[in-house]
Amino acid sequence: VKPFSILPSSAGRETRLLLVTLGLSAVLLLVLAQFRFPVAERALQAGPVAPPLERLAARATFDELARIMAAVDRRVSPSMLVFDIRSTDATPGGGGELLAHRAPALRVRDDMALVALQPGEQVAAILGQDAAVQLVARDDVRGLAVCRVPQAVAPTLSVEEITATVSARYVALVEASRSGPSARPLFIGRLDPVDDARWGQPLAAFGGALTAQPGTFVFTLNGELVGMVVADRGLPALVPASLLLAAAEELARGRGRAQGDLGISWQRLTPAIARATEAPSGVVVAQVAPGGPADGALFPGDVVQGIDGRTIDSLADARLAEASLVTGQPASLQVVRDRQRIEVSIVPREAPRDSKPSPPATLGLTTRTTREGLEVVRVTPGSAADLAGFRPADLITHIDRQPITATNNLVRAWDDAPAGRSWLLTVIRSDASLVIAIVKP
Amino acid sequence: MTRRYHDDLEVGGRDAIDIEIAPTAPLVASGRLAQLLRTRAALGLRPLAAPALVFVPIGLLLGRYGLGVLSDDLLVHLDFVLAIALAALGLFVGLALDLRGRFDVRLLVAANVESAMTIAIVAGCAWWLLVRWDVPLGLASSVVALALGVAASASSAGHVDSAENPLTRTATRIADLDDGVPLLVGGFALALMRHPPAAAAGYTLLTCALGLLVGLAGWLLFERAHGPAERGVFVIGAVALLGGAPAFLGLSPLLAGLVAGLFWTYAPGHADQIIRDDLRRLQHPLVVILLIAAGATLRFSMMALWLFVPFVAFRLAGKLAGGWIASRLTRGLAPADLGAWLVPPGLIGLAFAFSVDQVLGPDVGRALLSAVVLGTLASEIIAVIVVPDPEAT
Repeated sequence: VKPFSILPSSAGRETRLLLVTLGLSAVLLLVLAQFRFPVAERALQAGPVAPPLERLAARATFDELARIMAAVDRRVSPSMLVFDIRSTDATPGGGGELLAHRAPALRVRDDMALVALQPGEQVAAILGQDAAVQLVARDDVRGLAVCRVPQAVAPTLSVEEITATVSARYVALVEASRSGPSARPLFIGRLDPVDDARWGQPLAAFGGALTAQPGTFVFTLNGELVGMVVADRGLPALVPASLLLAAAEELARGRGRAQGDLGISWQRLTPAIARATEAPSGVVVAQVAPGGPADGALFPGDVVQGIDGRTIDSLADARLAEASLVTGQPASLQVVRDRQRIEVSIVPREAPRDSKPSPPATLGLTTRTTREGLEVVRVTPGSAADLAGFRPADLITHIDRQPITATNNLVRAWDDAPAGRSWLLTVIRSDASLVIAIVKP
Repeated sequence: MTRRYHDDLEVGGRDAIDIEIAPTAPLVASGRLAQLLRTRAALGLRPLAAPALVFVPIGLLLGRYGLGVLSDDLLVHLDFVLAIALAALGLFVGLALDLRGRFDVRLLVAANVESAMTIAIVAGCAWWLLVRWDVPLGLASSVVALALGVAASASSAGHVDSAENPLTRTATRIADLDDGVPLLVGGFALALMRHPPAAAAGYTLLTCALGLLVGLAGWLLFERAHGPAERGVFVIGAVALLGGAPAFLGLSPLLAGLVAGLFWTYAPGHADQIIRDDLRRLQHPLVVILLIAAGATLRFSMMALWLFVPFVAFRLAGKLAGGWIASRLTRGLAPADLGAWLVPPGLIGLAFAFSVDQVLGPDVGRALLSAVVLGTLASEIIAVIVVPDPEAT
């Protein structure tokens, strides 16, 4: 046995080999450390000649996926309904346009179904059934509603908890088609956790485009409920099944989520107001309810740019952020007042439940007569004209195809008409002609 | 029951394939390469035709870069078979850890010091390089580096007939004994890929518990079977459980197999002999499937090439350094140039890379598997050049 020694002079072949190798490795390590991985990784492609059997295998793959989807469709169909949803674009400036679409609904009990329902939307009917649909409770913050539907045995739902660490996989999207629920595959490359104040727990964002419509239900290829797609800041996100079903259970018991209320009327920030207030974004406080939470803290003309850290860019943002506030806990509002940015703290109250404010019966238009028609001078916020989408400087030329020449014509027609009467008004706005429908509530 | 000693020397013992590809005439008639091959043949080492060098190219030919017969979709269906193959390999490692006397214990210590040294060198260098290179791995560089180190630490002395030379026999025995620590570390590394360290340690224990439970079930059943057919069903069922359950949970079938193999080895009775005899029939089909699948799964991606470099470059240094220390720990019972005997990589590293691929999926997992496959082929070629000295003691 050779003596234990690391001295090269007395070292054997193996020691010399080791020392040379270690030396070379150290040099190699230092040399390799000088390189950087290329940012745009390019995978080396297969040879230009297509493998002869690859196409056969690929076809078999699609056949298999189609078969799996058919099986998922059969498995989840008994749990699904399709609702006809109606809505009126009631946002100021929205024009009161009548909208309709179909949405899938998940039967969470034998006589109740869960559907994604945005504020202003109503369930009109169940596709393929004559029975009426009765709203049990809705949560406008999360955009959910539970409706009473004709009794049927609800299949037992299996649930799979999906996490942001899940590897790439296929899932089945169940969406509404013309004839009923329909499943199609969606490949999820990755899931990223995303915070959403509406849900209190992280959702899973998956991808950069709305490949799945909000309100679509997601199942595994084994028919287990994974969750529901919602839009989170314009991108699709997945509400986990457990969270979704817990919210549905609350609604099924008639307990909608308490919504915050600041006692404010909001108004869109127009370019003119933006210039005047030097606030490039946000929404304008149009009215502050006397004695309300914001009384004394906010004033008409204030521009709210953020609520509790959420950026406010539109009326929808403001309403959603307001409704998301937790009752009794101070909320911080970022406000522009007198061209100065200030921070205001307000304690929201709970919004009255199931008491939708009835649309105002007033027309809400102040006009002046011109040779071409009636020019809108002012639109009362929250009035029927405001909801119909009238704006100052609009020129009303016709009412129900008849030329209009005097304000009295319009006011008299409004006062004399019964509730529900509607008119079509031809309006010129910025040299463009458009038709606006106005309905007397 | 007595056992022929050299049956334990290679995982699974000699078989028809070993006999078929035994050293004959070198492939090249003249030149330096021919001399190297003749030297290896004189040492009783395989000249060139290690199984990986035969079957991985076949897999490559059948895969997407060749005929496209073994497409990705077909390979997905092989996942369960591969999991069973991994469990079977783990079992063989566990069965090989049958220590008889202080000599074997000393070899075991030396072998595991050698493998730990290789893991440390490869993982350390790879980690440093991955951080410097800023490779977009999607998980901690240290975990990927550790996986590379584990895959690099496996070795096979590559003997043909080790009974003829005591030094060869000892080197082969060390090559068989040095897989325990890598499989244990590998099981932990695999769990680390999906869980934080504390939870990963728990999942590693869970893997061991799974192996122990299946081992216990097999121990109770094997010797109570009413005939060979029933016993075969028990054996297949046990191995399927050892492969399937950990693979389903994202754990290491290799570690589960190792624990079960250890249990059967040291539990009273003949469970180890039964499983060894029955699995020997399956061993080589599974190994061939593993190697062909490795070839077919190979993807020449940029990331794979960047992972391949540290694997090959520092594996040799790790093996030589580990072997240098291990040979001194055995006090002359092993060849002084033990590292040179341990350069051939064998199958365990590939098998572990398959586990990583099954856990991590098509991005990093596939890149790491491809790096290990390429590294295995390169190491087999290096082993042709780094020839051990038969007189080195």
